[in-house]
Amino acid sequence: MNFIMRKHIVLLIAITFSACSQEPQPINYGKDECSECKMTIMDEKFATEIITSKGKVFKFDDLVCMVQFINSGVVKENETAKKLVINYEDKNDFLDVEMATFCFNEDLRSPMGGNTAAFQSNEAAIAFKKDKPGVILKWDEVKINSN
Amino acid sequence: MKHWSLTIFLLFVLTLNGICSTIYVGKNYPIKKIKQAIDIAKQNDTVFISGGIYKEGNIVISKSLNLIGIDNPVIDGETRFEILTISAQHFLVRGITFKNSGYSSMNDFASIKVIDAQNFILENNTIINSSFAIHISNCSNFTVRNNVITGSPREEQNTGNGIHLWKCNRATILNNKISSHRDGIYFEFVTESEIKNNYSTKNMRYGLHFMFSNNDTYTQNTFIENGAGVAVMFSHHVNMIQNTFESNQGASSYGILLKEISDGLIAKNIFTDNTVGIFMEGTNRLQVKQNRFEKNGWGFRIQASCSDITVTENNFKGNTFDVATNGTLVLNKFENNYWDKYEGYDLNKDGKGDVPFHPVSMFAMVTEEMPYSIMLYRSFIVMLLERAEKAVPSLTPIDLKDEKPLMKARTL
Repeated sequence: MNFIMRKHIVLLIAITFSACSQEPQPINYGKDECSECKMTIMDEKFATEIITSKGKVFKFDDLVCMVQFINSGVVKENETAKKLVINYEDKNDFLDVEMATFCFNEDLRSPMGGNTAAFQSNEAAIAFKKDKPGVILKWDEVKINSN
Repeated sequence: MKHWSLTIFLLFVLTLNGICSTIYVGKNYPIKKIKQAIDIAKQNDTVFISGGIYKEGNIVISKSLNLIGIDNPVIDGETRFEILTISAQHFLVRGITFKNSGYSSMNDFASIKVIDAQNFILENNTIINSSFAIHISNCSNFTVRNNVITGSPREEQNTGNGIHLWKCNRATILNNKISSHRDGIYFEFVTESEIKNNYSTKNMRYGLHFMFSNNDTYTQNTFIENGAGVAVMFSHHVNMIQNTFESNQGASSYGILLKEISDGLIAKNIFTDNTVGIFMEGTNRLQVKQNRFEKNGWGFRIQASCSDITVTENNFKGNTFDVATNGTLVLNKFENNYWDKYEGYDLNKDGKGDVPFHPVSMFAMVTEEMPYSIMLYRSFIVMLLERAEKAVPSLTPIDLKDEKPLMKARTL
């Protein structure tokens, strides 16, 4: 097998595998568009992402948009492999929505008015809420709250 | 007699003093610091700030004062502080340069922040390298005019908006120049306001951004080379007249992005060199009239979720696609527009074509489904298909047509 042939096979394998990967894709702030509200994603504190079981990625600028996107039925909740949200305290960290703890607070002013921040643990959310009004939520409550 | 006149004179001076006095701040005056002047100032006083650089951290004002700069004073926030925070009635800030306000991810630091205030004017100020430049919340009856606002592009998404209004009403935003912020002008819950003759360019996201803001008008503004153009969302009764939307280019970039809008007017605007002139989704009862769409990728993208849109008397020239849509249901009306792609004839010489024009091309429908297919656009086979589609329409919505296309472009 000559070198060029081998290179092609490697490339083919790379393409095949990259197509079905369910790894989170980093959000390209200032470039990527929210799949629900069409706004350019700018705020590093509230971005979210859905990866479907087929590996397609949808990005959102606010939790509200993600919930509405699921409700609209374009991608049903049982077709999603991963639903991720940016950790409010670490802009490079994606949290699984089922694991995260959320804090709803009117003063957060998220891009689409969801005003809900995600935290890694209950403790982190409670610590954040300590000196301001707010409500601690889990994912199921966020879904109801975002309607 | 002499006694009397002296008393009257003294009384006069004293009363004048009582109504409003002036205080000078600067290195040549006894008062060196702005904060000190504000402390001793009474209601309705005027504080003149003379030329020089002032570094005083966060200056907080809670009384009616006129703050006027002479010989261009500069107030520096040293990239750590919010510069000016005002909460008062009847005040004025004029002729001051603000620079280097701080940045915080928790609080929206601004060069000039106004909270819970009424009846004020911010004019002729220069604001450089701020996170938010002018941030106004919960205010009414005010004017922001003739300010020059320049952000710092290196900040990327950390930068705030140029002129940011939240929960305001009866605002006038006039003759400002805004560049290199996140959104040039941002309106959220703002009603009965006017935005006129502003120049908004090179902002990261939108030149102008409306959210949940009703009964507003923007006229004669220019929006050039913004990251994604102008967005008007979740609002009703917004009038957009005589604005220029130019060179807003990119995959998610639009001259105007309209989402969930109803009862508005888009008239006499110019859309040139944009990826998409107007993009509409979930929009109702809107008139699009006498606009110029020139040299855009898409002149007009109208999603099937829109209804009762009337598109009349517009000129469509040199666009790759004039109109695109994603469905076959058409609840909108196109009439008396000029289309440079129209190949019909006018036998009765009434200035209007005798056969209807279908502005949606076959390939526009294909690219709507598969954006990547655009790379085949100029190919021979696509041209053939396009011809076939014209003869026997199958993909394009048959009802989306201009019954009376104009033969000659209107002068707009």
